[in-house]
Amino acid sequence: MGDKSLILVVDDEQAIRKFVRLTLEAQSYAVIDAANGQEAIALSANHKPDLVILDLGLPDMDGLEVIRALRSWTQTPIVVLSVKDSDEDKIGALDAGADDYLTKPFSVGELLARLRVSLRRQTHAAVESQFASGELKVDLARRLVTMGEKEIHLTPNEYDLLRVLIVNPGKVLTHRQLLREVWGTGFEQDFHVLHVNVANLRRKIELNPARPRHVITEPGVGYRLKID
Amino acid sequence: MKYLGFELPTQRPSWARISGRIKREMVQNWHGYLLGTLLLVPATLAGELLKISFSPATIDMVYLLCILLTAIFWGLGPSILVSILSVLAQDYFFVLPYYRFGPIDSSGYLLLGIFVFVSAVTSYITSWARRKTVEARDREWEATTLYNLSQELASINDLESCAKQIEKSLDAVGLSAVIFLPSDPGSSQLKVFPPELDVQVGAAERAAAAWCYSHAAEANPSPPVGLSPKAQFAQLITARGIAGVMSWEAKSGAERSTPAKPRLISALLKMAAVTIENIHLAEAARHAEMLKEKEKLQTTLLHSVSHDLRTPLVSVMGVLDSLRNSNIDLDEMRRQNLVQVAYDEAERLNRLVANLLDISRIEAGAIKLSRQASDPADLISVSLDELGGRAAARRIEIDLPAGLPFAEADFRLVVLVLINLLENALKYSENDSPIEIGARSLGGMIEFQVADRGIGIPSSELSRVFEKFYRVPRQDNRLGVGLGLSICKGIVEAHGGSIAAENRPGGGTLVRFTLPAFHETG
Repeated sequence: MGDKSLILVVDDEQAIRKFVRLTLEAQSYAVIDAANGQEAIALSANHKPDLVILDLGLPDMDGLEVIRALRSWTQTPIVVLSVKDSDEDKIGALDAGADDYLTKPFSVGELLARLRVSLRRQTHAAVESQFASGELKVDLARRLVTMGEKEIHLTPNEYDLLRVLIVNPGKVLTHRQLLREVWGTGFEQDFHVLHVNVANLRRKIELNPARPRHVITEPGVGYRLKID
Repeated sequence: MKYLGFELPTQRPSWARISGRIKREMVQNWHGYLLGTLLLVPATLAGELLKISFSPATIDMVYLLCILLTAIFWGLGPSILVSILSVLAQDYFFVLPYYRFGPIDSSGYLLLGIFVFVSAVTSYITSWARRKTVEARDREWEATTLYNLSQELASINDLESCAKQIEKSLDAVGLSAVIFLPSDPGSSQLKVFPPELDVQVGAAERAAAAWCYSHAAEANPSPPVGLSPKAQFAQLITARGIAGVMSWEAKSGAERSTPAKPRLISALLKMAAVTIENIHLAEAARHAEMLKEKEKLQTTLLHSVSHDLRTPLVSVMGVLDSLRNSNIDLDEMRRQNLVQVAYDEAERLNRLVANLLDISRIEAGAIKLSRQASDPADLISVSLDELGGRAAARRIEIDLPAGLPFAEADFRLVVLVLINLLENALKYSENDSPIEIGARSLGGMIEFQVADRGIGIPSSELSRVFEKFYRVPRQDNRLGVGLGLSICKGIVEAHGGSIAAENRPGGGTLVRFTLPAFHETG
């Protein structure tokens, strides 16, 4: 990429800020960092970063508050860093407007991958109507799904599910978000329905439904469409 | 042994009481009086018939015989009556003038006196003999009771049964007893044993018991005036001090205590005190033993865990130290190797810390399940993905029947279980042997199976492998601190399922666990 994006790193641990900065700068990103929520909001307002990496365990305010504050004026992608086993934290953050999450300790490869995905969506504001990954091809304009040569027939719900995932490529969508998008408000509790539809969808579009490569499960949180 | 009487003061015998007793005795023994009198009839008849041949002195002997018999069989009262009647009869029938009461001369009075004396002595001796027999029988019965009780108490090791046993023994003697013991060792609060009797104990009795218990140290305690319970109280004293208090009173309707009872009661008290002390000592010994074991276990644990936490760090720090040391010159390949080693060790440490946290949470009951419909295929797929390269290199066969229902489970936690089981399977089997994962519907549950063709588990250890910190005794068991399976067990059981390991015919281990199947509600 030509112009490298500006990334704001928010974490109260100096060691983490240091190693993330080093890693990102090695990838030619520009980095600013903050050690607490107040600083994060202020730096955001002043410098308008292209992406924010936000640790949920900040000393002065709840990570959710920071997300809500940022979301009140900007759609800048936010990737949260969370401690393992805190599904509620992750889901809360995603529902509040975060775009993705990483569980600590995280691998650098994963971090960079998530950043790339989130930044790409930012720069490619117009959603493409064609999606292709491996053998799978989806034409959103014509509502056509094919695996290689074969046309795949999906139920309306299955298609909608796939569509919502494609429109948010690489981004994790919580169960509630998916249920709301596909089935509408009031259905956010019907996790079972969602899981059954995902299973059916996988059976139709995955080469090996037992080891899905397109529709990826984020345990305890939701689903994500994998993109290369 | 301190015996604190709260007895009702014994009243001094007054004339009214004595005459009352005599009247009662006469009423009870009326048949003795009657029969004794009737005895005189054949005696007199015989005398009449033989008046001519025998001297008057002979009839006196016959009457004496009657008096003796009366005294032996019916006691003092009847025999005195018969004595008087004999003298009168003798005067009437056998002293001139016959068939008329003549004046009783001095020999008559002498005769009466002798008769009465004989009556008294005979009846006294007889009743003494009888009393002694009863006493002997009583003592024998006492000894048997005490022997039986000591046999029973020997096998008792809890306070409730001990109290029940003692109360039962006293019940057989016509006394209803209640035992008060401290509710906790060392406390001054008394509890009624066994607890069922608690309702029968009144406030006065409780107060008396409490007073009794708290005044154990005094040499000659005198109860305060205010206390007036219905029963008698005594302290149960052992070599270590007071163990409790026992109270007893005559059961309603039972005869009043005979002289044998106080001895029996004091023997029972001693036995009770000793048994209670034994129970306490046994409890203290058990407790001490348990503490020792716990301490031993904690020390072992601490050593094991600190070793296992440190070991990966040694590698990580060693590698980093080498890398930053400019004196050590490494080519790129070696550098990469070292870094990989450090990374793997750090991952191992990460897993260990995660396991320790998980097991602490399980132990503290702080595992919160967020149950949802979980696709068994998805669970297995995610687990394999998490294992990444380690699983990719191996042959893994997945067996899932079509139409398998979803499980109702916390997705992430069940993934943890599968990862643990798969890691074990990977660890303990050869690289070219297959690993099989499957699931099936079983009753209202989904049963998952993870199987390998590895070295297996000794059958004696099969049930123990799920214990915390347990490691199958083997040389190659350096890896992990033995928490994986206990975490699996904790998670599975929190879902209401069960987990078990078995050896497979043909070699290898099979671990099965069940989770409830998902049912749609509404």
